[in-house]
Amino acid sequence: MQITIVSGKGGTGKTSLAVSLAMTLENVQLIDADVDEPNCSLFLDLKTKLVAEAKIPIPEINYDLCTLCGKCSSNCEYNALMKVPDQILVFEKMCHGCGLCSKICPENAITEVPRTIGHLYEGKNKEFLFNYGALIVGEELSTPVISQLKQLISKDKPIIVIDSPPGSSCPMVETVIDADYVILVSEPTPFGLSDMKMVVKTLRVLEKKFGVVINKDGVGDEELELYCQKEEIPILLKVPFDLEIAKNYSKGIPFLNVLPGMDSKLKQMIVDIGEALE
Amino acid sequence: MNNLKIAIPVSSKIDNPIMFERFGRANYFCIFDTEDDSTVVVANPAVGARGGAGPRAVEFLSSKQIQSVIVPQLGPNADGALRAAQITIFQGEPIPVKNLIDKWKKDELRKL
Repeated sequence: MQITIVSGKGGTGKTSLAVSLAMTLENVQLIDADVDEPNCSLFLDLKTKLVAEAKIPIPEINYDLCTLCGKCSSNCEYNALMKVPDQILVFEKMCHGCGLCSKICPENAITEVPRTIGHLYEGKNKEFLFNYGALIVGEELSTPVISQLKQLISKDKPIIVIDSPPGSSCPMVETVIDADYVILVSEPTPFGLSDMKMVVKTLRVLEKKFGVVINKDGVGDEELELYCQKEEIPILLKVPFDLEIAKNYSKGIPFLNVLPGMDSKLKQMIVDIGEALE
Repeated sequence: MNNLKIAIPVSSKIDNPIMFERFGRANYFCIFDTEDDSTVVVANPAVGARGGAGPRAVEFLSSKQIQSVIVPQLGPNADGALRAAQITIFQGEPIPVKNLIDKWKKDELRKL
């Protein structure tokens, strides 16, 4: 079962929930797919090692064959290629690695060469498996790093917990696309609700089953809960707004180890999710 | 001396507009031709590009046989593209294009 944790707004508690949830389970894989700023490892007491590089294919022009016809550059969706009088310029960081240029080149003058844009890491502690991806500083394309990170999803673990990037754009979609269930973490503020609505829209387009965890319960207003009632979205759990959670968070201790009874609540949530999927 | 074509980014088609402060995202380019001292205004096809507007604008100017540009600040991609296209770059300022062209004629613009 693949459970992906998303939010609209950043800083609502995806990582806290992902880590807490994974730590209540015994045989589990936790994946931090927030490759722009992976931070699950701050809450985990385990060593990680580099296991792979994330690469995208970028074009290389063979000028023995190139006739400077410009078909590649005029068809590049991302403006990564540009024809000047005596050459085709390749703007590596603009390239999404789609490969169209090499396929449409009438002279077969374009080959694709790999370019490293991120790194993938792994750590283990008994039956707890952890992976994360990290985009290289200065790079822009999170999505291919996430898709390559997902290739590390274990076939042996009964439950995979994935911490998604915030928002509702391509990186988030790539992270949830194969999920069996999506947990949407939101805070009960107008800002939290506004961003959450965009995620709900996205998840409905993707036809995903999902429920909401309200974090920082007690701040803000009741609009979030009223919205969930109206839209018939199940509220799976409420995590209170509590200074002790924040204090421990700053020391790298997730709320699982701060709030009494949280362990059984999270376990019950997994049972509820399992039933919702039946 | 052969004729030269010089492009300046502008935001509107009015007569003698002020240079626009962005290069790749300018709505139009004002093109000055030394052959007959004429100016024409052409739409910039890169204005709506999701990314890479600078290089795409350079590609367009290169196809129009532009030899020089007078520009505001440039991004690294546009700068690299202009140099690769062997287009001479002059530092402009937000004043009417006719004044910029006069300055260029008097060799008062700094070459970048």
